[in-house]
Amino acid sequence: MMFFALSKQAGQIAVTNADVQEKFPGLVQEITSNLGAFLPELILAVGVMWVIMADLFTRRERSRRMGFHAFAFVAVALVSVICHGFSGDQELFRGMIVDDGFGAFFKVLLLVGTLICIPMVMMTRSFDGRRMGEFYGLLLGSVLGMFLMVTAKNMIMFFLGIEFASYTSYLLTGYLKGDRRGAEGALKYVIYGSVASGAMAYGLSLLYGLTGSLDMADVAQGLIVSRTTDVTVLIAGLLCFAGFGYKIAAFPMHFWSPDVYEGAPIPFTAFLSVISKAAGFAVLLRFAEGMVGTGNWELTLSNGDVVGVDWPLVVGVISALTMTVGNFAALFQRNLKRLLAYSSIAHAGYLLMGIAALAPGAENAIPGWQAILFYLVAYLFMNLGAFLVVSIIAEKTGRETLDAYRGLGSRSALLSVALGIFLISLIGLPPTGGFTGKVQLIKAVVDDGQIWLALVAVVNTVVSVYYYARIIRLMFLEESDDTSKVPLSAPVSAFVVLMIVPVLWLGVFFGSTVDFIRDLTLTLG
Amino acid sequence: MLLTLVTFIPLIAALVVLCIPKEQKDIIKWTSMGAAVVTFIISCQLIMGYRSGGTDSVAEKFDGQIQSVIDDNVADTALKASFQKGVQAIEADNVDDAVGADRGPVHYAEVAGIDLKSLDAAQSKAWHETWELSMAKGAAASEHIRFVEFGHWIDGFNIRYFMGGDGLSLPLIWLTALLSVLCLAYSWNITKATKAYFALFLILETGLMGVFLALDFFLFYVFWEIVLLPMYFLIGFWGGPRRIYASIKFFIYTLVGSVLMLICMLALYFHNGFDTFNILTLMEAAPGFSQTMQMWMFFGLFIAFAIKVPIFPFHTWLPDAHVQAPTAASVILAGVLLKMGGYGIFRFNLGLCPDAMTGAIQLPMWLGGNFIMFMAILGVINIVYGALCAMAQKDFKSMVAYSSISHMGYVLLGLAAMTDAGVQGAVLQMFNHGLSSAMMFLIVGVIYERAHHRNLNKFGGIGAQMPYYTGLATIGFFASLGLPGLNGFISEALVFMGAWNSHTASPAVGVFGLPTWIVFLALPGIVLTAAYILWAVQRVFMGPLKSETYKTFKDLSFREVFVLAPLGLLCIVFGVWPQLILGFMNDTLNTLVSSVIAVAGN
Repeated sequence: MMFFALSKQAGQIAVTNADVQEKFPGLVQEITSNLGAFLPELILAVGVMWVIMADLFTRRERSRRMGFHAFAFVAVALVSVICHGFSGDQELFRGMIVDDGFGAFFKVLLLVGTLICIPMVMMTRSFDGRRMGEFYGLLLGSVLGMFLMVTAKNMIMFFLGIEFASYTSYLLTGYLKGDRRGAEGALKYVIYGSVASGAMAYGLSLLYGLTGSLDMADVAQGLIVSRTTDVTVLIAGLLCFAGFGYKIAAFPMHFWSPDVYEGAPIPFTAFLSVISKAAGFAVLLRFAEGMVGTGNWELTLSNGDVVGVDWPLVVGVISALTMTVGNFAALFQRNLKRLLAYSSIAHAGYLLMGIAALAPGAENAIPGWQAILFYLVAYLFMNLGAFLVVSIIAEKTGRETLDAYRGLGSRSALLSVALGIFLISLIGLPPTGGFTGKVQLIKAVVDDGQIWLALVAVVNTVVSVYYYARIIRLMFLEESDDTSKVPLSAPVSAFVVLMIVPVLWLGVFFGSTVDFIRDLTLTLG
Repeated sequence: MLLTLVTFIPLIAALVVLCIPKEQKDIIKWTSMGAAVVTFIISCQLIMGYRSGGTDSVAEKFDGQIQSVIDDNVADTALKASFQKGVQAIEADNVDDAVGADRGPVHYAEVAGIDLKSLDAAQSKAWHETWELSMAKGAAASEHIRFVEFGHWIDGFNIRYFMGGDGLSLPLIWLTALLSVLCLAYSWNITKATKAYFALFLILETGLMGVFLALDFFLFYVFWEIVLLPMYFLIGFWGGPRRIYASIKFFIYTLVGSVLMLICMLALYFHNGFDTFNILTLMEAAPGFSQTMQMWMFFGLFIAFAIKVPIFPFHTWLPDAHVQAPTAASVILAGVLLKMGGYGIFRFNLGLCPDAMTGAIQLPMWLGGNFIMFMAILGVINIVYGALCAMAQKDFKSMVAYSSISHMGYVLLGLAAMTDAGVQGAVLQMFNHGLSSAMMFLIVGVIYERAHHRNLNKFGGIGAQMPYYTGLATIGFFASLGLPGLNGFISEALVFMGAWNSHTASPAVGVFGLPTWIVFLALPGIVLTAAYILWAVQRVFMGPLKSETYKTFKDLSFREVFVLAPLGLLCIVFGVWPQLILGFMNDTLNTLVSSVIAVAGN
């Protein structure tokens, strides 16, 4: 409400400081005091400007060094998030965004992912001879947009966050000018993105119309009180879901992702498939937790009738379709980037199981969102790890197709074993984080009584073995004519090993992570 | 501590092997061998210790653990007394095996007058653990489980590091350790990627040990899956011409089973607010499960294990995997991996679905009417169909593979009989088959290394050329055939005795008894087994030399004798003196059966 009051004011005349003081006593002080919790975002914003400006004063051939600058800003932002802690529980800027453990967790996740992606960008030779300041500026900008997504409590705010993150992503997808596939991917991305955000804006406006508020908590309350008809709520929910579904590449909003993933530079594909998806899940979770988890959108009228939409079922069906479509499409892919694109659609499907199981089940059960958070941590490392190996191989051989992996086992033990571990984790076999994560997701839906969804998930797991194991088979069981060793520098080897450690750690000692996630605060207002 | 050692020594050795430069093949081989031998020695110690293990009182261990959980977390004396009261109530109910009883932690909290809502987090965890341990104590004591190791692994989900051995698992542990030593010795001449081969073999051993020893369902599942990957690579990398097809088929079949098991595991976890993966606790609570629950659990778990056994119609991966696998992998596959399925059916289906095992749950007629008939019919199909397929094979190895299917049918038939003799025969059959099938695969391997083909029709006259080989091979063949005096005879005879007796003995205690005609249906299996084995012996060893090249064949090398002779000797020893192993399993198996009977009685 405050937001609209403010924007009306802004629309009429230029607002002076004195006016604000008069109309909203204490506003300036409040904003200033809130800035402390907003420090990571400010650091990123400064970083965006810094890398673009500093690049202007750098010779073109040294432009790749901007990566170090970007890395430093992300690292400082990470430190500031961690120092701020995970126990925050307050609204900032009059309910626009919140400062809570849930948001901080996702900020850490996004920053760690970005920290992994930046060295991958620096290793990529197709960027050589280009000005990289803009790239890193856009990348940091994208992360900043995602920060607003994961902390937004007001619908306008998260819509703006999504748009911010999307626009930067469009540009980054087509960053390699002159690359046809990149251009095609970027265009597809823009078109799908516009449709999805249009649909979402319409959905949000319906919700505003139904409840008269844009604050998530108010909307949830308003829906319960107003007892609106099922159809309008269903339509509004589905339209909103179009926006989220596009961000996380869920069926039927997934069509852009294979082309974009294939066309984008590999490090950015990795960024899209993990970090962008994680941010999408964060905002979807917060939205759904507010709407479905607490409000449940289902209420018993005085005459005993139950009205409301069966959201767990709707999301469950979307989840089942998403994983099935992803897995079956992945079966026939020859290009590894494309294969991983479809596989990441399937993983979005697995993750959606957690949303379907949001409604609290038995006592002591882990709610679905905790399972999602854990799975995202595991997914971050295993998928980025897989992309790391793919990018190294693409750099060394110039190929992204499956043939490049034939006989890799004898050519580079480290890369092949590492990719093997990441793939086993993606399948969901012990002792890896993919296994413990998937068990928690399946556990959440079994606990919620949706056994059918659990069965769909395990059948999908079996299907996915076929294409993941095909890569393992190519690497270890088949021999290639090319038997030359793949040379690896020590830092790159160390980087690969660093990615393996958390995957295995999460598979064996996942208790501490689970406990950590359980203790996170979640502010819904 | 012994169980942890026996499980993890191979894994540690595998990690050591991975650190050795791959040119140092001898060091790699001897390191692996050393680890396997140490594991074997420890497993012998376990066996010895189990027989004379009267002093190692499991009940006291559990009591101590329960006491320390209560003492550490509950300070209030009144609450402590309530906890103790709860423990006593659980112990009283452990004896009863009451059907349909609520054995959940919430129920006992009410009985003991504990207000769960008023407990803090540590206290409610403590109550849950007290409940879990008190329940598990009942099953552990009655099943004669020893060497128990209990530790916390993932507290958030009540996942424990809980291991223990009993009469069902320890013989299989010993068998695994023995076969691992022999297989590593047999693999001495592996030249392709030696380091990876030995490392994978050791990881495989760890997985197998863990499967048989884990008493926490989650832990069991992890080990179960750990077995999968090394075997996939062993078949896929060191196997025959169609190895890639065979290995992926093996992988996918087994994974279908294990994901079903995963669903069952989670359903059990959430059942009635148990929140536990402790197998013993679940077993103790099993009589209280509803019949619908038991029916679905039985189906899910049975299919998961049936794929591994393998039971018709899930058997088609086995001939492919066996024929393509390298000899040592075939030996482990037939000798131990198939027993994982059998072990699972005994541990889980028998333990968690007592109503299914009494035949109280009705099934449609086309599934046999109840689970006993269902299993018996599948067992008979396995026996007869497996034998018929074996007879039709031209490939030596695939004949042996089908003979495994046939022999595993006896396990199912013996279990379905639900008499002491039948169940003992079934478990003994698993053990014996581990020895005889291992021997058969080694025999095939020996001749394949010389002839480079396995076509039964092209052999002939090997007997005169390789007398020692023929002598040892004959023992293996006849053990598999079930000749009196060799081990196979005892177990098959026990199974038949049990099945024959079933229709009089079982109904008397309220368990469905197998009709006699089932036994008659299975009997042709014996004749068919004799037929294909004798025919194979005749084609390979008798007659004139079919090819001049066979004249160059040398008799067994020292290494091959070292591998075959112990197995042959054991076939004779257990054939003449089966009590050695039976006496070992009796206590555990009899309680397993009598606990089901007790449920039927209630």
